[in-house]
Amino acid sequence: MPEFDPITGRYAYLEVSGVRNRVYFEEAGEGRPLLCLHTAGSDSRQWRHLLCDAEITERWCVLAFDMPYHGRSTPPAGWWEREYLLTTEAYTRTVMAFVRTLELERPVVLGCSMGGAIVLELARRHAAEVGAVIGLEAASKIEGRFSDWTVRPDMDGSVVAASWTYGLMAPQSPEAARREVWWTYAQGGPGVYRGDTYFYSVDWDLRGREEKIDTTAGPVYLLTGEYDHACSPEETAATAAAIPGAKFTRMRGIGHFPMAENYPRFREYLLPILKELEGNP
Amino acid sequence: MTPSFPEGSWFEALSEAVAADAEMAVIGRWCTLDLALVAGEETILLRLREGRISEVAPDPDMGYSWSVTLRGKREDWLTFLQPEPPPFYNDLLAMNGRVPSFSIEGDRTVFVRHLRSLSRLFRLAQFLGSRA
Repeated sequence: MPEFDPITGRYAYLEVSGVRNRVYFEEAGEGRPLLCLHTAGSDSRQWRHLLCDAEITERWCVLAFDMPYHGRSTPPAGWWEREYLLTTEAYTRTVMAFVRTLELERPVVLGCSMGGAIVLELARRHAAEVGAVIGLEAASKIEGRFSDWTVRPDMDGSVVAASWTYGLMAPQSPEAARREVWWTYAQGGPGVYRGDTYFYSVDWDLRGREEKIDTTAGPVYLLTGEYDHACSPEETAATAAAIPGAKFTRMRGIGHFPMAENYPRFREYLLPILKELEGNP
Repeated sequence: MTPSFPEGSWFEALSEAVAADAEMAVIGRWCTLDLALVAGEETILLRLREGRISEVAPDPDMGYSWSVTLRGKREDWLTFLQPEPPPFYNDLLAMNGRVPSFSIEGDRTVFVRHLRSLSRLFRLAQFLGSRA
């Protein structure tokens, strides 16, 4: 008997600001939608352990899509004539296009790093459509992550992006999992990691607007790994403190890629949150 | 007994570990640069040639030149040099960003260009550890 993961992969067409995008997504389970957003320069493969977690998929329909330019989602035509720089506006519209096209009803949106940042923007703008958000490795403002190293002709951009982000993980995380994160980073398209950090570290800035997030309309959970030097637990805690009703958790022995670098450890933090949300539709 | 950083015997042990490492054998061939480690008042120059430490020069004189300097207090290095350092002491970029007394200096282009090999070399250094 062949062995399969319980994951189904498909392509959907999303219209975002008048542009048609062919987007790849993976899905597993049945129940309330749990939409997972990957980090800068990576793709939905980061969520493969969660997609295979039967304890979650028996109650949740877990979905993870590759943003345009990432993984198996091709960039829209004309990409070669445009510098790829992800903006808050484009990112918000893309995630909402996925939610609306797939008719996801009050999904819980779980995102990491740039995905963790955009879920706060979704909570601010679209609380009526998004049921709850869980942001990993995010804070109101992330400084210093945007640089040109990966696009210089005297650098191997794929290796630099992978090695640049490798040290964001905890030394306790299993080596094979950390190396897989390195590998998927090395497969990112040229300039894509840089363009994503434009959103994460330049364009997006929640400072001074945190209290506009209404957690009575949709709960907000923020979790950060103690080894994350791009976004420290203290920075996330400050953001959570500024959002009335938001809950913060510091994750021990984890870095910037919880779901990918050490899923067994991460799920110890995730399961109680999902349990809480199951009682709060 | 584990030698003590930054004594000569510590660098001998590191040179052996780097030369014996299967991953460095794969990725190190293109790694050639001169790198100075500063630990408090001490400077040690490492000359890397095709992924091996070809020379260790403590307190290098005016005859030497190098492109990258990793500068920290001796305690920063000792905290870094263990298999599971505490948060922000686990990685050179983490220390550069979060430990005020530690910095990556000089021609950072060279550092970033060789980041993959240097990350491996310093991971081996962490496995080696150091006697306090």
